[in-house]
Amino acid sequence: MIFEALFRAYAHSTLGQALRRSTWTFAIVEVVHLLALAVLGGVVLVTVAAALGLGRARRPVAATVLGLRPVFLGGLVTLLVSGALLVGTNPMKYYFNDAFRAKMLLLVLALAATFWLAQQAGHARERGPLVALRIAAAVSLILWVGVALGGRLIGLL
Amino acid sequence: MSLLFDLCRSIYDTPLATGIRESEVAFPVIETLHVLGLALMTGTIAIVDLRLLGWVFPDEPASDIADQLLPATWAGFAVMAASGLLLFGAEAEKLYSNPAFRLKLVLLILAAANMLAFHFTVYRRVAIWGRARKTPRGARIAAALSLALWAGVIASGRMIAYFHGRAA
Repeated sequence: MIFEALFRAYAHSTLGQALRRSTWTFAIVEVVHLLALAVLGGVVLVTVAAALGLGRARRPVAATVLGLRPVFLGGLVTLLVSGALLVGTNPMKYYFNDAFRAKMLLLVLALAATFWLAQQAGHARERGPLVALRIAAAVSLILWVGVALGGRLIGLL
Repeated sequence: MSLLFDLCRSIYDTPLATGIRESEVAFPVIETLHVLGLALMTGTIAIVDLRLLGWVFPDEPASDIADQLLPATWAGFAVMAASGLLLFGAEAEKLYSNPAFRLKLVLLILAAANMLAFHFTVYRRVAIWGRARKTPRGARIAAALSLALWAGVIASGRMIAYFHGRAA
């Protein structure tokens, strides 16, 4: 399968070999991953709350989405890069880890739901009913919590 | 042995702490709650700090952003404090001498002191500067310190596990 070939190539690459040998890389990259999690999680929670009419209730949801977009993207890129480096310390271990597989699937779904939420927030300015916006918000929140739980489980499996 | 160590040992020996330590599920579950609460508390703190630095929501009053997010920050704090105390109790005797844990406590105290200092000085005059894009220098310094100190709290918290073997 293409994914297995990719993970195997990563394990044999110069970067993969260097990551595997280094003692403190994992600890440092893990801390960066955790810091970005706090930031991205905060952004998601504030955005979802705004879409559900909590917290920033008097502001248009689109203002929250647009205002936090740079922070969301910064947090996401940091998480993806640090996450890829963590995988590099032992790619095949992650490839065969069920929690890691579930996390990657949930991540794709969470990103899609967040994109949908941002789209609905843009529409909310013109239209009255907010049902789609609220569903998008609730689904995003559940999926992002799933991503976090999947990540926590990787080490326990 | 010191009074603090005796206190840690007494907490460590309580039935609740022993129960958490000896359960296979309790510790990881509480730890997971501790990490989820992290986003609620420090994530919202970071957004307020970024507004004070003028990097997000520059057109909205800083006091509005703080008022909107503060309830979430306090809810996150409640989760962090409750789960943190339970995790501490379960490992109190080992944590007493853990350098990462000691550093985390010092950074927590500094983060709280920074918050109080900001609240009782610059923030008292927020009615004057709250609407401005550019906040006073004191507010920007407090925000930068807050980001650095909370990042330090998270980093040292994660490092606790790496120093566990060496506990005396």
